[in-house]
Amino acid sequence: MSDYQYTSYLDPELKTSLKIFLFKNVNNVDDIRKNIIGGVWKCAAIKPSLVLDPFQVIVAANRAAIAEKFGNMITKTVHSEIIYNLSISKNISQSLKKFGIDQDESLLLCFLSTDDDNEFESVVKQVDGEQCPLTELSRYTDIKQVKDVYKLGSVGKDTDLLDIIVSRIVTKNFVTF
Amino acid sequence: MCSNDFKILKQGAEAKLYLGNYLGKPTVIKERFKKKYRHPDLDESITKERIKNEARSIVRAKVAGVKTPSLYLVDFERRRIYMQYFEHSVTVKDFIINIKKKYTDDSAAKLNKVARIIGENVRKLHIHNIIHSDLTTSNMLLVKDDEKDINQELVIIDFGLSYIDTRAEDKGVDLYVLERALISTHNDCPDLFSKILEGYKAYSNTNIKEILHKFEDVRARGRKRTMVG
Ligand SMILES: Nc1ncnc2c1ncn2[C@@H]1O[C@H](COP(=O)(O)OP(=O)(O)O)[C@@H](O)[C@H]1O
Ligand SMILES: [Mg+2]
Repeated sequence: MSDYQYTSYLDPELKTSLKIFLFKNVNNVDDIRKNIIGGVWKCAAIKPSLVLDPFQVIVAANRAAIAEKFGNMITKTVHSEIIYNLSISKNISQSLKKFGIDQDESLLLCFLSTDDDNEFESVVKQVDGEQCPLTELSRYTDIKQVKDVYKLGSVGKDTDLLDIIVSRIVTKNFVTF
Repeated sequence: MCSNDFKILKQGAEAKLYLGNYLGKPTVIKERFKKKYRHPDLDESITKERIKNEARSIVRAKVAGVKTPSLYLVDFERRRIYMQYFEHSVTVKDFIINIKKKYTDDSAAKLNKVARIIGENVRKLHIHNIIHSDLTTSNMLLVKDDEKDINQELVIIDFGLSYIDTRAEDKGVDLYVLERALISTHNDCPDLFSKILEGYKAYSNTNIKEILHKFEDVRARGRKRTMVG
């Protein structure tokens, strides 16, 4: 199971890491959503179809954790802030709806944690689905939808999409696309 | 600067550049420092504006088809932009200086090729109404192509003074800034700018007459000024 745990360090001043888990064939998506919205589970659930690369989530999560540190988050929790950041729209509810889970069978669960914090373990156990290695993410990515949400319909064939996506994520508060 | 393991890369007039690893990637941090001679509020708003200009144009240039560093974080609190570090790169300035140092048979061809690529890329920015305002050979990098030994891909950086404008005049001034920079940095390459201009013209026709006309105007005015002064 630990093979399926993907960890990335964030900004060194935060002393926080991001853990990402990928699940397929999930049967209890309603419970998951309820637990997250109710604040019982402290994590973000994201549609994998809109994620091109884990780095996209890392950049969004890092920006969220920095905003929490400096007290300038746009949404209520750092986890909803991750989802909000993934979107290039400034509309909060639309962003959360777009990148958050609905009736999805596959999903990404993201946790921000310090080294001695193991809360994620009990949450991960409660997901009724199959855990997959994050290297399989590309199977779930829908490039057409990704291009659509990031307004990349007109870019050339050999454009580096991830480059534009992360750069747009970190400038969304002062650039209109 | 409190982040661990970052080393100073360059110290400029406006900013310090640090080099290290961030989010698992080789990263440059460009940190604009406080200017003591400015009122703190004014200083903060100028800095914020520069950071915004720089980040905005870096993102827009990508869609214009001009390679720029990926942005990893824009941080107004710490006055920093975190961006992709091009490890295997040289500034166009050093590239040209090195070519001139050890002149070989294909030196002229290499210079012409780089000049053409510069012209094309400046043209791409202008087509998308991005005025760089500080076009110099230190603000352009050539990224080494792994396969061959040639430096090929051009990256444009340092967009802190850039802005968006559709006017031909602003594009003409942008070209003039570049010409002046080349004269002062590479006076042993007198053909460089005309080759760049060829690349600029060849890439697209749109509005070209007006831009070149404005460029000639600005240049004539500049010449008059230097003759008087
Ligand atoms: N992303 C980068 N990758 C590699 N080198 C860079 C990068 N950004 C800047 N540099 C190096 O640092 C120098 C100064 O950076 P620049 O953004 O032009 O700052 P300044 O405003 O001080 O001129 C550049 O001329 C180049 O040599
Ligand atoms: Mg510079």
